[in-house]
Amino acid sequence: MGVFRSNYTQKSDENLMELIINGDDRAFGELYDRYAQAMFNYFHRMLWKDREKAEDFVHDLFTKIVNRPDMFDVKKKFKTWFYSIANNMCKNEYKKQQVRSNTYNGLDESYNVRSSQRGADQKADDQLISEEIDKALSQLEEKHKQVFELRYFDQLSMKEIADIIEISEGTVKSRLFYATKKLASELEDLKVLIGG
Amino acid sequence: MMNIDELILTKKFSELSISEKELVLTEMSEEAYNSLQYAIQIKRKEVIVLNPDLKSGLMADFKNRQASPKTSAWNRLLYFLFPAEKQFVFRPGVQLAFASLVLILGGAWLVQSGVLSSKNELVVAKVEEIPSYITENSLKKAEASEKSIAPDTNLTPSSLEQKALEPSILPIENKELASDADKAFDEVTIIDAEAVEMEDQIFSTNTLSAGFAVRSMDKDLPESSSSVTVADEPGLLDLLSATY
Repeated sequence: MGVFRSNYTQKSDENLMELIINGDDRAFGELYDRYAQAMFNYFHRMLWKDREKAEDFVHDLFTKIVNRPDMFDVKKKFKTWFYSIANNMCKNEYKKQQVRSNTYNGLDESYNVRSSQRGADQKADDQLISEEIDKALSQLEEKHKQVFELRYFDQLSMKEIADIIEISEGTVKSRLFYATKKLASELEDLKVLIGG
Repeated sequence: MMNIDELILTKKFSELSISEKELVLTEMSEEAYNSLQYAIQIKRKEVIVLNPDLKSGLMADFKNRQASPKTSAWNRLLYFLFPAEKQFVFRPGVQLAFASLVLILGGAWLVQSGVLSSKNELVVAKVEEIPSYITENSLKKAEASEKSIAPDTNLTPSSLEQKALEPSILPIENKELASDADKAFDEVTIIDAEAVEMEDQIFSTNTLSAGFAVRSMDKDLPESSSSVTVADEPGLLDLLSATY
């Protein structure tokens, strides 16, 4: 059993998808283990830190693989394809939210609510730093924020980001450069907290 | 050399080479570098544990899906057209069927009305094309011809016609031929139009003699020629030609 298990962990995402297309449930389990948490974090970040919504989105995302694994072209890179779907789901959700209310950037509201809820209860430095970076990120334009998060939090390459959000690699670089510089200046004051 | 983003993700500021430090310092301070790097690490360490039931639910879905018969392209098309989860009227297949029905009925009606109207238009156009003077002339001609060729509604033979048809006027020398007259005349062929000759006296006497030759289609019957003499009356020639 352990031998089979190790075999699955060594397989590439694309090979696992081939197995999933052929109905291999263990391959599906392995793929879930690799991506579920990352996608949850991604959705959590992108969807105004709404945990329930993020979980629903993870469920919907993997359900797409359950129902239509053949949608994936095994010649393509799975990670890029998977993030592209997730990204499109978020875009659709933004559109829905935009229809419901004219406030497109729900992040500000969400952040303010959360920060007020947390308030003085959460004084740990790490939490403060986390909130600071969230605050700094919320001040960025969505396009810069998205590239920054995909690069630093999801650790995707420039090429992968370019493929996911369908822009050129050069545009990704320039957006990332701008976002990095902007956040660095915003977070410079945190040196006291991190003992820098 | 690595980009700044790669350095932030992999190295502390103190671990950077001189050239890398120079690169970083052109864009941000050492403090900013450390703060940003630390903040990113904090964010990445933030673990929001995903509900473990999610996996078991999805695995069960996957197994159920595989247990069901594999969907062929046809089944998938059927599912697309008639998804069970949608109301009957909202199923694409039903909507397509309705749309097709409307198109067929509408198309048939349009074709039908189009053909009729085009025919009517054609007739109207043709009538409109005829100049008025032609129609007027046609009407005048029709009236004139009605007058000149008035149909003889009185079909009873005149006395002259009756006299001409009497057998005594037509001298038949060959009695055998006469006995086969019905048969012979049914098959008679006027072999030469010139055989009908007008005698000179037609204009000088009150009688008219005409010669003719007939040959039966029945070769057993001999060719026969004869002449007829009748009293000259206006319209008699017409009568004779009609008789023979």
